[in-house]
Amino acid sequence: MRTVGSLWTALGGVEVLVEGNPNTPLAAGYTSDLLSDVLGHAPPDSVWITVQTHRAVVGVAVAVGIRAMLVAHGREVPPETLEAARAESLAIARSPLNQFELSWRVHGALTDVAPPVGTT
Amino acid sequence: MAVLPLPADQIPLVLQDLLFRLKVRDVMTRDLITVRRTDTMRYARALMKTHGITGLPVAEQDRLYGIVSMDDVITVLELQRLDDPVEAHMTERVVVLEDDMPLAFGASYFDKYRFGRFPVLDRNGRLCGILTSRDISASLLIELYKEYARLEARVPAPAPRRTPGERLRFTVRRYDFENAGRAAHEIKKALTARGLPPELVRRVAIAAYEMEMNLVVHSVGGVLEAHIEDGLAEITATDEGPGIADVELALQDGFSTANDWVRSLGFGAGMGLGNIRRVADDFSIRSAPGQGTHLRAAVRWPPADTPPPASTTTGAEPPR
Repeated sequence: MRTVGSLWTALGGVEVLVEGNPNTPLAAGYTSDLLSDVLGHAPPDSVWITVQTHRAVVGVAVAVGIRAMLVAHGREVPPETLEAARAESLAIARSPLNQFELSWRVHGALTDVAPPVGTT
Repeated sequence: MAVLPLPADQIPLVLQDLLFRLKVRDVMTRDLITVRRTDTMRYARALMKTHGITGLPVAEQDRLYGIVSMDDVITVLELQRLDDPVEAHMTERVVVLEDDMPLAFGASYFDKYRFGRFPVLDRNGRLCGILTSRDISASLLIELYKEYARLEARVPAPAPRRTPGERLRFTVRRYDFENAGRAAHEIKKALTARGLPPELVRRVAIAAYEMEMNLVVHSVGGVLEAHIEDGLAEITATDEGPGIADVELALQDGFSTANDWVRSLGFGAGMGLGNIRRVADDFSIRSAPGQGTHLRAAVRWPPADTPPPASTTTGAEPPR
């Protein structure tokens, strides 16, 4: 299963702002900028692609069980958001790409984890 | 001692996966101790003794010529030919492994050929390592530790314990986005500390967060309270105004009275009340313009003295 750390590696070109726990497994992803949409629909153990960087996003992520955030358009992330994320071991990375491109790539990376070679 | 490999149909899937996922190169010893063809058997014997090993590849510049084992040394001792060159007594037809073979392959060689070690060649036929059964068992143990740690992280939290009820109370101020989410976070921590399954905690946390944000965004400020006891988490949000004119309309997804700057932060999507209603087992709202709003959401679960439910499938709650 894809982990937070291996997702960043697989995507390439992301700037890791908060490392969190890189070995945390990721089961899914979700893209949205509406916090209630995320609260209502984002699956647990997921990576959240968004342009929202306000400190409150950390609370949303923690409530839902989101493990990593991927900030699109290289948006600035305020220090208080980073601080809150660190306290929660929520990983945050940033990419210059837009949400469409990021979603596509993250989906690829999450579903393209090679199964073990050859089964008997 | 059991012989490797264990019959494939008898070993757990996790172990089979490991044996196929790991390559010989991940496991082999890379620090090679070798002899040259012209070294003496006496020297080979001394090397084995010093390093506590029972076989040596005979190699020069990464090219493998043969292998000399403790058995060969014993033979030479019997013949009293310790000063013979290694090439006179080495085994030349060496069974080798390739570095990108799955470990399952390597393991099967130990059973198939009964040798204690196999030199490993890279794709160019150059000697790059040696594989012993000790390498295999050590690496499997390490990988199994990791695998177990992963599996343990996925075990659902233990059945809820019977613990005394508790009440948490938070004052929430209007437009205080700096502290937004703190109350929900504390409530989540309290539930997690009680050992409740992550999926239950998640439902309560989502309701608590939405209710807290409603107070921040829409009310003049209010109080968020949590009452947690065995089998029940009840969250209430009470404010003094301004109240909701049409509760039915407010419950519709997409309806929002939030202003633009609140929306620019991602709030005010008009989905909050709907979210609360979806995650809660009980939900009630009482409001009128000028009278404030009272919102109540509860999540229930079987108390500790009833049989625990079947394990949930969602699950890894990493250690905090």
